Amino acid sequence: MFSTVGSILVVGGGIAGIQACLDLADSGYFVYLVEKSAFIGGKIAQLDKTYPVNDCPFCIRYNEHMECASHTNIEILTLSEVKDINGGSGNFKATIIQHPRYVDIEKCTVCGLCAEKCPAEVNNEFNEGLGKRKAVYLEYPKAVPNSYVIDRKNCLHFTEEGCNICREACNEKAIDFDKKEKNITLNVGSVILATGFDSVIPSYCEYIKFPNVITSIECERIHSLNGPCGGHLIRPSDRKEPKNIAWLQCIGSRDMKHNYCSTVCCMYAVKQASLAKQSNRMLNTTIFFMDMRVCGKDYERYYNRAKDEDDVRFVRSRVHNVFPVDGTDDLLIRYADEQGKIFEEIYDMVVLSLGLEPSQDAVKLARDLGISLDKNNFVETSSFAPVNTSVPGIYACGAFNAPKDIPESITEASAAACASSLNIAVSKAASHEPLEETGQKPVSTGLIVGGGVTGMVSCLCLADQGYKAYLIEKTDKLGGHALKLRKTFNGEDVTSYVNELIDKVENHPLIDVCFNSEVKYTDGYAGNFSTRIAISSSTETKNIKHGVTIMSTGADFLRTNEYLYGKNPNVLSWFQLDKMLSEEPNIIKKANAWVFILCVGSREPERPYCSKICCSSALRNALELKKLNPDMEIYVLYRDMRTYGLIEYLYTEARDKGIVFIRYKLDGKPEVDEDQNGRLKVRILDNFLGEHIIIQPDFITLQTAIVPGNNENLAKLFKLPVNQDGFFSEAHKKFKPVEFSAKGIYFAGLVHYPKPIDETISQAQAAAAKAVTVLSKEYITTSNEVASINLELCVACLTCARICPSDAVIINGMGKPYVEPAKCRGCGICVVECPTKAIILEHFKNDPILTECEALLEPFTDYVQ
Amino acid sequence: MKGKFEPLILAFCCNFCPSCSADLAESAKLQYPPNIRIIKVPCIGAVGTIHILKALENGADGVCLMGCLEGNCEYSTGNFRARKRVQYVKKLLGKLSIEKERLEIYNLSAAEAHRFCKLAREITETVRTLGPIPLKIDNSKI
Repeated sequence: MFSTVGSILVVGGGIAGIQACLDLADSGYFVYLVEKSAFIGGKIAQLDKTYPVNDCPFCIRYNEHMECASHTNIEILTLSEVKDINGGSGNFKATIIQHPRYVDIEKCTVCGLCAEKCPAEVNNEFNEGLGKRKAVYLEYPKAVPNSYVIDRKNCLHFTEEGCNICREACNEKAIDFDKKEKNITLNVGSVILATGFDSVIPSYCEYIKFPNVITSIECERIHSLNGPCGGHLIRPSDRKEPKNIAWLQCIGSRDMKHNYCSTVCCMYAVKQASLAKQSNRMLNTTIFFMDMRVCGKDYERYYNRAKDEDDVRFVRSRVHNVFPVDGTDDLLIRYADEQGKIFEEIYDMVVLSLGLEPSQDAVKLARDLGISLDKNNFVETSSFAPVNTSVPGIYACGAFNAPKDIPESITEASAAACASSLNIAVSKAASHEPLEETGQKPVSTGLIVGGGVTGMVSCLCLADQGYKAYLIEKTDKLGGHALKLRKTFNGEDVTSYVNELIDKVENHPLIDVCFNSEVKYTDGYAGNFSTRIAISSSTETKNIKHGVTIMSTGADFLRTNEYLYGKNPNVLSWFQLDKMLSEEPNIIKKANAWVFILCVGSREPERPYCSKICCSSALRNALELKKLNPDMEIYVLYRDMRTYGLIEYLYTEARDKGIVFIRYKLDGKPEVDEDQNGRLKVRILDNFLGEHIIIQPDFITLQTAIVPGNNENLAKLFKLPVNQDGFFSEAHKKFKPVEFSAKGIYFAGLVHYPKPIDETISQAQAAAAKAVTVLSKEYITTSNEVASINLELCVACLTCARICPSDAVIINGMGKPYVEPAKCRGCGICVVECPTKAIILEHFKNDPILTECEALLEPFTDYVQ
Repeated sequence: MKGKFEPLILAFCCNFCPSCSADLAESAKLQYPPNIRIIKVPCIGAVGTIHILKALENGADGVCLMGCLEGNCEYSTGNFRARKRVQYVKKLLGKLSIEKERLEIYNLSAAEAHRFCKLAREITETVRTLGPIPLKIDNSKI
């Protein structure tokens, strides 16, 4: 039996909720997952493909859904709502109301007879009302929990009394109409809110009533293979294939009511348009956008591909209305281009890229719990504790904190798991009973490479949970680039936070910091690594045994030679400005004009990625300058203003304060000159005027690109993949944002991709949460299905060592190969490649598969008529 | 066996995506020909030449391999290995005067239940038109 002491309540069974559950359950905590609907999984199953990899999201997450349903440490409560939560951190009492399913999950075999016979037909909300379903239904095949459910609102048994057709049809007698609502009281240590988002349909959007104006999620369903149209892109009014489609961006985002950016709409519109284009080359696709905010890892490449290879047309304009074309179902779009010229175009179908807002029920719950929310009802969090709400012991992750993409949501979910388990670690330890030891114990130590903010946060997370941590730092002090930063985008003081962090790390009894040291050699597998560290000041080396490794070596900024950088002292980099702001405000007070140049070195052919943080840091600093010297003229020269999510507030504020924004194109970069006195002159084409303008600033700040550090060496040492830009590649771009495909090695921070400090910290916490799932195991688990080599047959050709995708084949001192069971993932590739058939895989020896062949190939008389 | 010829086709399905698709087809109650017999393998790269040839020798009229989408292999290169191997076996079959069309490799994702059924129908029809495999060994005589 499980004790409820130290258990955790997760509210919301979407992608973030499931991830938080799994991380906690794998670390040994008991989790209750409360989900409002009848099935877990959230919105992921509705999506057709994910960007930037174009694979099926549900396929990949299905294993996690199944794991969640079958995990002994997770109890799923579907059709449940949180009524109230009382008590305080470490000891909450949650009241849950569970609505009846009317179908017994244990008995239901998903035969579908009930739905076949059910006379009540209603709109299928899973397909956004584009198809029909019955009152007894399964949301989609393979939904978890895999059992039908009766929708009480539409069931004739309840609405018209007496219909018993499904109950009689069910062979398993799984249907029981007498089930009543249940009140459940749970004692939990922490609460995680992962309630996700709703799509916004703003009130000004009256044109949504036209049949061929569809929402983005309807577009996903239409285009989905298991959707109502079987993957054929057709328009709803006449079910014909459209010839031209328009996507309208920022519907319900960046307007007066929702004055934030929804972050994901640009990318999903690009994805939908390019997939539509790939399935029908003759189709014309146009995206009407304000700024193309594609600032995630590999997103810029995806966007470039859509533009250049798939010929998706991008028009920079905000469309304000859509008109019907008389006599047809077509739609007329009137828009103004950047010069203000009006155009009219006719489209067969219009897709609205709807923004995100926090789900209404969650907002109500959060208000009841006294959690402070911002003006748009997102949870107020600090950059330094990105998953903590204002109520201790209650955490929030995913799109409830801010509009978020899947990888960030998953990262935050893991971070919330880490933070919430810290909160109840004591109660867990109290109820901890030693298990019988079988096999090898993992070394309960973590090795963290890189002593920046990321490394320190990961280190503290591990140490606070009782694991020893080694922190390897190349230089002689901790803090990394964060030491040069002053403030986060919402104005919090970075310097004091970093100093506090350094203090905590250096004084923690379980943390051992190795300064001036580098990794020289590493070996082993999850739970049992061994690493040699060299300290530069001495010839000594140090061997460390550890169970997990976290890479947090950070990144660097580009030393550019553009725009007179390094030649004229008044051309500054971003951190020189940070320094000036804190040390020499008098110089700033005297300046008359200041120019910020964005995208220096980013989004260029040799560096085709967005550095993500430059826009927000430029705006933060520009506002600081304006505060010190309100009369100063400030110009921001940008390509796309990528103030995604809640950073949009900064952009709004900057425009209010009179900062001038001038957009430039890659082929019309600003020209910077100096006269003989060193006075700077910037010449740039203004798009509105169509003319070049000249600015004479006192200073220029360059927002230079973030470039990866020297990752190749580490990559070679730890056998880790590096992407084409030089950042580490994760196991899956969307769903495994802190893991490498090799088990036991995780990463966080800027080694992955440029990102602001709040995302860095949540990633650091997430990496620690993942690490704990390995460290907390009583023994290292190895799969049964591992290859083993019969050395009598082996001729040591080493084919197996070369082809093994998991690097599990090790050559021993005798020159013979040996398969490391903890690393082998049981693919069986070596088995067939081995020329002497010396390798066998349990369950996959040559014989059984051939026997199976033979058995299956018995002449089949049973069905031949 | 009397009546018209019903081919027997052995499908090696990678345990990741294609098996998911097959399961999905079953749970979605889609129909595919009963001629297809599925063997789940840990990775499509683990299907060797020997397995394909033995299957044909033992009475399969056709063999198909179903792997994950290219670039989506859990073990990074398993499906490319399988594709190479299929090309090699096709060459061998050519030397034995056996129609190459009896062997096929497909890549599919885990959500392509409809496509799974379509491919199953396709290969069944192809092999049905080719007729029984000329290789069948009467095991009782050995």
